[in-house]
Amino acid sequence: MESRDDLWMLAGLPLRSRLIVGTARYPSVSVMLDALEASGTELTTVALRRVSPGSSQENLYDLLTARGFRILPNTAGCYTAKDAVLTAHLAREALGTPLIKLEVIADDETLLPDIVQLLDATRSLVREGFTVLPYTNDDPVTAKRLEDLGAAAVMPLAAPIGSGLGIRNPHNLTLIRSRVRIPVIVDAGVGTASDVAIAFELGCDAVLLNSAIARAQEPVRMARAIRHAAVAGRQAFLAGRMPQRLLADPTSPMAGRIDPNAAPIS
Amino acid sequence: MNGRSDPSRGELRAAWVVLNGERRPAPATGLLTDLLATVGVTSDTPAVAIALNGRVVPRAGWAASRVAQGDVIDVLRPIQGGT
Repeated sequence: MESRDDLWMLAGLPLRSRLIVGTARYPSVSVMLDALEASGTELTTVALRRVSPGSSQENLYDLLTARGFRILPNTAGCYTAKDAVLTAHLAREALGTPLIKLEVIADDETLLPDIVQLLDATRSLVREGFTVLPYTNDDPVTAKRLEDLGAAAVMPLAAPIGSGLGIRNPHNLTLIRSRVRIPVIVDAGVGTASDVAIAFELGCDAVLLNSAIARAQEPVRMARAIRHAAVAGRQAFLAGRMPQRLLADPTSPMAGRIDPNAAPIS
Repeated sequence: MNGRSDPSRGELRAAWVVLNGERRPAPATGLLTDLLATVGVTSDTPAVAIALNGRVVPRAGWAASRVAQGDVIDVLRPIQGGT
């Protein structure tokens, strides 16, 4: 479905699917795997935690890699740059990837990014050779700062994590897209397929989502819908939308209409 | 003497470490790998990272690492996560 000539590059990694999908909160592991497959994603996010032996989480890595998904570890749950940097190092050690989705959150009620800590952690991790994908506010100034620090992409939120509120400030996403050269990946807050289509119509390069699929009544069907929405939105962006106007503009010609008052001519 | 152990004389007490947040007896050999074996982790286990007192121990360094009284060891793996 995704077109072969519309590959995008994430830090040198060519990807056909423009969706990055999280692995949390599905009703079961088998629904998760089916939903990931239905979404068409090639890249899935994981967190890093203490796991007790015999836990169902123990073989997540094997399950994902056996199906051909690449893994993007995150630093979810980190409140300081120090936490996030340590977690990134552990993720690189465990998974052998330089990719890190960098999250440094300010509080657990909003899960909004702590920008001061985020910039600090980005600077350290770039210096240490990581491919840093920072989760950030929908703020064009911060996005530019992150690019200047060497981030491989910026991941502005659409709305708070897990809220499903959709794209609250499309104008800011457009501004971010116009001001950085690195990929813009909308991260967090999308609730349904149309939100994904809008993100792509705005010119964003990819969308990362989790709850919109995992918490749908039918996650696999929603994953499929979102895959279609991503393709539709991206194609609409490439096609270039018509200009908007405030008043109607008839699409059928006015000339050549029948005269409804026609009467015999004497 | 009242027969209770004296906390200032640690050598009389069994050494312990903290593994994933829980206090455990330290391995008699003092080897990190022996401690990891108790949770089923060997050098062949995929997708595991070890932190010793908040610092990453690269896999290549596990065999040579020792753990001592009071050390904090974390064994981390990828789990289901999103944004």
